[in-house]
Amino acid sequence: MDLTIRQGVNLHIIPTDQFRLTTVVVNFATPQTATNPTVRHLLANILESSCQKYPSQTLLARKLDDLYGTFLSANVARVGQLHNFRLRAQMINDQQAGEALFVQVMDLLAEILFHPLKDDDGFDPTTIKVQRANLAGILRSVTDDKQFYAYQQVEKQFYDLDSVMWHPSYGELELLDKIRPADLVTAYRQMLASDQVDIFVLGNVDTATVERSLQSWPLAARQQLSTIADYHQPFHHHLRVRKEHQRLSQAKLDAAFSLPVYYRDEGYYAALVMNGLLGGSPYSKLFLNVREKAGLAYYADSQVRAFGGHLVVETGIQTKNYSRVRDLIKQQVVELQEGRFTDEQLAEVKAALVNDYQIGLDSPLNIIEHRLVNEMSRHRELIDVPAAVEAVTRQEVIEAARLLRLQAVYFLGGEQNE
Amino acid sequence: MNKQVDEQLKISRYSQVLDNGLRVELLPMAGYHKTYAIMSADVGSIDNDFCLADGQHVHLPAGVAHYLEHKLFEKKDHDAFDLFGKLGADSNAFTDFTRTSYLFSTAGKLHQCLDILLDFVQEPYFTPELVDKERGIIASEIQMYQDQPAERLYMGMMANLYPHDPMRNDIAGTVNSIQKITADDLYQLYDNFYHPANMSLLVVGKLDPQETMAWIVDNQAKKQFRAHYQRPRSFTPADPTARDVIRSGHVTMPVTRPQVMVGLRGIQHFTSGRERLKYRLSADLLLALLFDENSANFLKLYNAGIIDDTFGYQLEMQRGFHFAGFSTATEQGDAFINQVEDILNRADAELDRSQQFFTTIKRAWIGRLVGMLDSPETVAERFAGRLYDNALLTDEIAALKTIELKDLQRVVDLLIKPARLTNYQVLPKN
Repeated sequence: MDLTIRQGVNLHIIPTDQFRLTTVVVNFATPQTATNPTVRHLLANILESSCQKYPSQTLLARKLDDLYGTFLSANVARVGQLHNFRLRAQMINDQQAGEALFVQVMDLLAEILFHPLKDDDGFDPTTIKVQRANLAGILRSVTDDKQFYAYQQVEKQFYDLDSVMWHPSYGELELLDKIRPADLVTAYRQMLASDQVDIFVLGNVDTATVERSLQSWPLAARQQLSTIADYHQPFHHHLRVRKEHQRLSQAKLDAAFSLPVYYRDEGYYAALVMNGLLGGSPYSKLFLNVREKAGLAYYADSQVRAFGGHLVVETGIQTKNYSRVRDLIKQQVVELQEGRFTDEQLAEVKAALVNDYQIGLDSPLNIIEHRLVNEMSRHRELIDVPAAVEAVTRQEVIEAARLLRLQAVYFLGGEQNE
Repeated sequence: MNKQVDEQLKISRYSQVLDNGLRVELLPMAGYHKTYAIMSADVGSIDNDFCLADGQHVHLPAGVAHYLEHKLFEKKDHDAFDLFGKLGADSNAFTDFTRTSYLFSTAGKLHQCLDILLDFVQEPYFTPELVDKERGIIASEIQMYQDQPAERLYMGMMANLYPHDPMRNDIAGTVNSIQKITADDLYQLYDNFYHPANMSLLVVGKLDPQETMAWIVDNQAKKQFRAHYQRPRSFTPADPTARDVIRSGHVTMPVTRPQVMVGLRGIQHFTSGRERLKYRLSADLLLALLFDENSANFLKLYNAGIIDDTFGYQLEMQRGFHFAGFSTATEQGDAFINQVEDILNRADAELDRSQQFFTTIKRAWIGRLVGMLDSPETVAERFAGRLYDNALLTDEIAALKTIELKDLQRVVDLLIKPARLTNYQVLPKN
């Protein structure tokens, strides 16, 4: 059930008795800029740690424990070029708790959002200091996960330097130091006043109770988003290659291909099936030919960036195999473009996609994410996803593969004397 | 088939031990699309030394249980993994210190997937050629762990806590030890531990209990197993008194942030699985009381910058051993070690004034465990067979409700001994 509470403030209630947990997501969306991911990430960490009523992390955590261990978190995420600030709560339902737990949690969410630990001068300085230091630690250690680091680097190679997408959705260390207390207040006010708000409630809930619990939330009418999630950039004819070396026993080779097919576009499900054949499933060409048959990679997979118009291949390999693996990746793409895959492989990949989709229906967060993405991309109507996957033809897969054009390569080598 | 209904938690359990000894547990979940099945053998990485009923000792190279897990999927003319794949099902396997598990999840192809699972686990096909082929893949898996700071931290701590026991090695073994593994070794381990009487099968999610049990019974009726099975005696700690714990250690590697872990080894023996479960739940609550995000201790360490959101703690309970671990990324490793040890040593005094906090924490844990029932994976993966006398999450919730503050006191008395503490740090190069 979708309701407009006020213009730009939408409530989505998904009643179900499948789960013992009730899930609430409050999503604030705005176009990403070069700087807003960092300040919004810091803001999320500040807001989730305390509020006026529970002015320390300890007191807030104890309150959550008293609410039957309610889970609460605030974080940031990106859907295409839209930056999302998300407050999320999960609690056992009132039937399991044996009391009216839901409304108590909604009241707590209102405290967190509208009465943070803040006075006329801004947010509590101690909280800012601690959260700034923590976020700095997290941003610094991003480079420790080499697979993720390599993925970030190939994305940076792919995106144009002046693109907002070049800036990661979780923020940047260099910008963190520059955030002043006043910037946090501005970001907070802007978010509450102007962001599109989507509130999702999924679980065994009473619709009237949900609506009533939101009546006191001071969210004024605002514009619905005029931007949609899809990000476009012109194709660049010069292949961008970057290599670096670190002391590692396993090297990483990642590649980004242009794939101008967006979420729910015509050809979108064909692109997903094509990706499944290339590297999106354990039955894929990359997995079977690069990892299993040639024994050249510990992992080799691919994913469609459905709001970014591209596809990313990731591999973990030995430094000395760089050229061979690069050739093999290219060869797998060519094979798809030439239709060199069996009907059996096609059927397997489709079955896996349908299986994954149905399995996703057992996860409240996944159901909400799916609905949220539909909102952000203005594809609100629900479609029969399994039928759309099943309908994909061999020719459509070949056409999707033919759209692939290599744009960027990133190689993180181990020691060069290997 | 024995049926137990939990009206409050809204879940039913169907149990049966088949004629061949296989324990089967079925948990239907209304409204779900997915079915999750997990078949486990009571054998893990620490069981490479064992003693047969006739007194004969068998010594196999470290990493053999994990190697076997990798190879069990592969057959003469196919790979079981591909059979699941053709049905769109996901399959996986993992080896732990004391348990090896094979699992799949499917939306709608349960009967076929169950047959594939039972058949590939119960019909081994190990040849020297196939075993050789895997060596490089497993070696690179071990090398990959070597690059991960969190893995190095954990294994370094374990090697200090159990310097003379098989837990000191990575579950996958070492690059050297796996060179020696042969097809015969895999058969040795398999024949001694993969008997149905040493295994369990749990199916959770979308299923019809009668129909599902009939499928399993049918599958098993077609196979022959030894009539009398006696599990070999395997792991016991080299020093049951834990006087061999090494106080401290570190490694340097290219990380931006140092990481530190404190370990505390327990030596308690348990006469039943349910006693062990109660001890573990009591220890969980005790550690939460001392270290959870809502404790005064946590806030003090957090505000001093000694811990951050990477801080974690847990009690790990396994067959034959258990320990508590506390870890964080921090620039103040030594301060972390001192503070954690100090908090543990003061646990007695802290418990005395914690009745109200105990009630809060217990309420929170009940809520969290009830929430876990929504996840078929979690329900299945928390099942630990004989370790807790076949307790399911529902039994954990029931046991948790009975725990009182004095049970936590008992854990303090039994577990917290300064001589059984160790610490380990991963430090940046330079």
